[in-house]
Amino acid sequence: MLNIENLHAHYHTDEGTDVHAVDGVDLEVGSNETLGLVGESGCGKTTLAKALIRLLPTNGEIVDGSVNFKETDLTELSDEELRKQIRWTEISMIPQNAMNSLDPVHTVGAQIVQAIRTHEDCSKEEAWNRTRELFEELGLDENRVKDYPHQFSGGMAQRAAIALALCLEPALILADEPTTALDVVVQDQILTMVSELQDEIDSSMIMITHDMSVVSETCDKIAVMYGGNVAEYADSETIIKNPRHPYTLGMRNAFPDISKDTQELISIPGSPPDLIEPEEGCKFAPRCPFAQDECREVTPEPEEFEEGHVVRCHRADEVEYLQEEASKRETWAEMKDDQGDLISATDGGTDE
Amino acid sequence: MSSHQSKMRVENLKKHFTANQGLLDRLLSRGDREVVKAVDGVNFDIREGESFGLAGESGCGKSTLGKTLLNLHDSTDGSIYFDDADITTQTGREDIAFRTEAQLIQQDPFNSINPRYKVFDWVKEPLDVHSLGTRDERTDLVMETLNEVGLRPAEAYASEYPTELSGGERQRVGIARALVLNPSFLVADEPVSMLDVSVRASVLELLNRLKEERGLTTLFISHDLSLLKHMCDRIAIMYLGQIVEVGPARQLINDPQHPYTEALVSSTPIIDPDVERERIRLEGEVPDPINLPSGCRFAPRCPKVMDECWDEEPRMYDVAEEQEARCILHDEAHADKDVSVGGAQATSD
Amino acid sequence: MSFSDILNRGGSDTPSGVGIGQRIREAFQSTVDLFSGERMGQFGVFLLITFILLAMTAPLLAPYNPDTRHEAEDGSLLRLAEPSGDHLLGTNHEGQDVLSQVLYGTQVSVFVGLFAALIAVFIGTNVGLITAYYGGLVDDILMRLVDIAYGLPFLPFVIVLVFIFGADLFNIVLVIAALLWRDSARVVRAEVLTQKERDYVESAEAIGASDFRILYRHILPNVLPIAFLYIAFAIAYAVIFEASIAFLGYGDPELISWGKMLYQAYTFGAIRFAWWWVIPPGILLMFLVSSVFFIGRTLEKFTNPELRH
Ligand SMILES: Nc1ncnc2c1ncn2[C@@H]1O[C@H](COP(=O)(O)OP(=O)(O)OP(=O)(O)O)[C@@H](O)[C@H]1O
Ligand SMILES: Nc1ncnc2c1ncn2[C@@H]1O[C@H](COP(=O)(O)OP(=O)(O)OP(=O)(O)O)[C@@H](O)[C@H]1O
Ligand SMILES: [Mg+2]
Ligand SMILES: [Mg+2]
Repeated sequence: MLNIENLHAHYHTDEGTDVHAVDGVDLEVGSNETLGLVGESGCGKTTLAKALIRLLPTNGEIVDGSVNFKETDLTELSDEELRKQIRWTEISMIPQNAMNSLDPVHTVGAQIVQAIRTHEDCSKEEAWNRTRELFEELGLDENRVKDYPHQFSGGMAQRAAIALALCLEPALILADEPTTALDVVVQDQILTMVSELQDEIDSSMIMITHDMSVVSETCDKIAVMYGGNVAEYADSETIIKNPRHPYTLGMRNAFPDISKDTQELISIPGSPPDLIEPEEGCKFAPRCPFAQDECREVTPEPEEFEEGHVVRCHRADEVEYLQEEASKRETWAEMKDDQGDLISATDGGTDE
Repeated sequence: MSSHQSKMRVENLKKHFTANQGLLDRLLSRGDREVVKAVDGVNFDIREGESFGLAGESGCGKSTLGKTLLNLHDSTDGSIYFDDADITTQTGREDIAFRTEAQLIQQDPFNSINPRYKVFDWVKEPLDVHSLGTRDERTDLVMETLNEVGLRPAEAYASEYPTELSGGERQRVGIARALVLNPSFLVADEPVSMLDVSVRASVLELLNRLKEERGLTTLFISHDLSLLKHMCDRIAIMYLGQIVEVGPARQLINDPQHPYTEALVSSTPIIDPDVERERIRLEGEVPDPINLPSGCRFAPRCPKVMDECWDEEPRMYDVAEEQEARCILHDEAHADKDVSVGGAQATSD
Repeated sequence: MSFSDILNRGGSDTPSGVGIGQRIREAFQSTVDLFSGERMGQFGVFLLITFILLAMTAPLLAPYNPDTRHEAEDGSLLRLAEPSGDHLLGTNHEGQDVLSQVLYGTQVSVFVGLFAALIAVFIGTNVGLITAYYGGLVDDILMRLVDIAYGLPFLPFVIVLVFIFGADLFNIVLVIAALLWRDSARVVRAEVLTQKERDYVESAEAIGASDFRILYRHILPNVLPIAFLYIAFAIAYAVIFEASIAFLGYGDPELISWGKMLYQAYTFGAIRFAWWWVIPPGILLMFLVSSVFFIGRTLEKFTNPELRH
């Protein structure tokens, strides 16, 4: 259904440099499939999602690669075609900043009604009724369709943004942290509703989130991004239980678990990779406790292990050793010591 | 009364939003609408050096409560004591002193940074406003704080505009701005919701360190119960403008005594794909802070509702050591009924 | 590096923040970016700059002193001469060179346009900021003033003020500003109303920022684009107003302006046949007004989200 090949998206900056926010991503989303996109903050998830429907800000640009959606390459379409045929009706986005996606001078209901009526031929009354229904389904009080966005709480705005994205029943939903402001009860309810809707209209979804448990419960596949690349890609059970990439392994250590009473969260030391001048070698190497010379010199290519489990790591075949070592605190703590300069900044270093 | 020193104490705090209060509405002169009772009679006492967690339904009034505590909304009723001084009446110098002591991390990092400020200027502004330190000291402090929240290299981020940052990066800019004044009290409204787990762990580590080294007191608002359990000493659960349960973090999550808390705990997703959660589904109408039900506010959706629940609003009952719940099931009249509501949780112990 | 320039700024005790100058520069920069790819806007900017240059170099470009009454070879006044090699645009009823007059007239139009617009938008922006931010009684009082300004009838207002204060150029600028500030006040107010609901304002309150700081350092930079837009529109109106005032005969008697040229042609009854006297000021007036309207339309695309998509 959606096939992304070697996608590169850059931001141009005032200093004349380029931020390589998406740096060679290959991904596939089948129909009626949910792909979870996780990864470090700032690694390019939002950029990737926006690049798919070409909604990058003015200083952003797709420099290479293709995005095939139902046999059309979206990077080739004109803006006009994209707006008329694809955005919203075929692919819609639930943006990360829900509140900002709503226009402050119109009531929330009026915005949804307008969206419905510009793309579909239906009466005003019908559109209002559908809006009320959507509100109801998302657990919002239908009397509040006439409220202005600033009168909504964070979670209510987020649900309104979801309503706006779903109102035209698109074939692909790009959801950028759709539930960050929702309590777990509503989150549960909405994720269930969205997945029901997905089955009903046979649509797919790319869901960006930091909540590993949400990913594990709702997604079929997971792609872990690091520094503009997909570091690891597999079905969700494999990623959760049997990951091979050291970054994924490190991420697992930092997740608080509600069933545990005492738990030490281990963070990955070091700074995120430089996206302006990507260095040779594996992007994670400077922070990786398992990095060897090869890792620092040669950029690893994606390699398929079991069926559908793709990893970008030179040492991914030593899976048992990696998994064992990565779960120990010392493994990540030692990093801080023997890497001198780079890592000492981690502990709030003031050295400049 | 406990022997602990109180940092932030509120008594019967209320914040109601009246219709047509927003100027937009006045401009368009919409018809009258009733009041939204966002915070409706809240009592608690946050102790010095404590992390106090606050969770609850989306729209139940958590952010409003946090902002009212910081005097950013005028409270409708009730009193707020900060270090035993009533802040609702303070003005001038006292207010300025309060503003250096108590800080806010806002929920929405996209709306809460002025788009015309560079990161550096935004984080430095509190120091400018209170004229703290020399110019060099301010610069050093800002850079240090940026480093601490994980925006590294700080020099690169300092010159960015917020529109050039990702969600998580903005969130950390907001955290840096709140921490740069070295406050003694912090309202952290979903401070880490957009951070990946690893960066989140390091920010939490930072907050923990501040708590241990400098005795920082925090009101930690979050939907993530696992996080609250991990971070906080005590947790309060809010429902429709009121606190329905409060207690020590672990005890409250492991053994919730209010049916709503129980539903929350059971709805928390778990990472292990093998475990099927037993969810408690909440039926009934969407709660509406405008037309509150008579009796218990949770009654319309409560799986354990009884006839008495509709009669009057329940008070807080002592249910365990330091733990209180607003549920009539704990009344002596019902001592024979199944009080232990903690049956369906998905926890392992 | 970004903070080095902050370090270099003087006055170590005053809170540094970002200077208002820098804000304006940045707003200006984003305005410049905006014009790339906008043909109409670029054309407008080009025209406006040409007019400003014309105004500045008028004394050099004008072939004659605009007040000189030229005489024909036979010693009589060279009235209403058609364009010729000596007088490219002919002469008027008093034998003055039309080209020189038009060039000098540019000075008046550009001066009045720019100054009246700046004063009007300055007042309007401040009124808009204050009324929207404080609301309540302040809002009511100031907005009543705006209503009154809207109710002012153009002509009687001008006549009365010119009569009281005299018809010098500066007074005319003030009169025009007094008529124009209301538009920007209204629009800026509406914009501030939406800006002040944004969380960043609350964030500024939370750190204890003063009202002044919130208004001028936080909200103002975000409404500057709209203020710029209204400067463009105000220039256009100011130029038209000045021309109208002069055309009606209430202009500064000492000065030549396009409006006054048209007025003279009209009162002399030459407006039908002396095309060389009438068309040049008319066309220039039209070009100047449309140049700022083109600029305004481009700015509007930027500030009005509905036009943007
Ligand atoms: N408009 C922009 N101009 C320049 N750089 C940008 C811009 N937007 C984002 N970036 C940079 O590009 C990188 C990727 O940003 P992106 O928003 O895609 O991250 P993300 O993975 O969505 O992170 P998060 O989880 O924090 O939202 C970041 O380092 C960010 O600083
Ligand atoms: N400025 C306002 N005007 C009118 N109503 C408001 C205003 N701010 C908040 N409310 C209402 O008050 C209630 C509580 O809002 P609040 O933002 O405190 O919720 P919350 O608990 O923080 O929710 P979330 O978890 O979704 O952020 C909501 O019903 C909201 O619509
Ligand atoms: Mg993002
Ligand atoms: Mg909130």
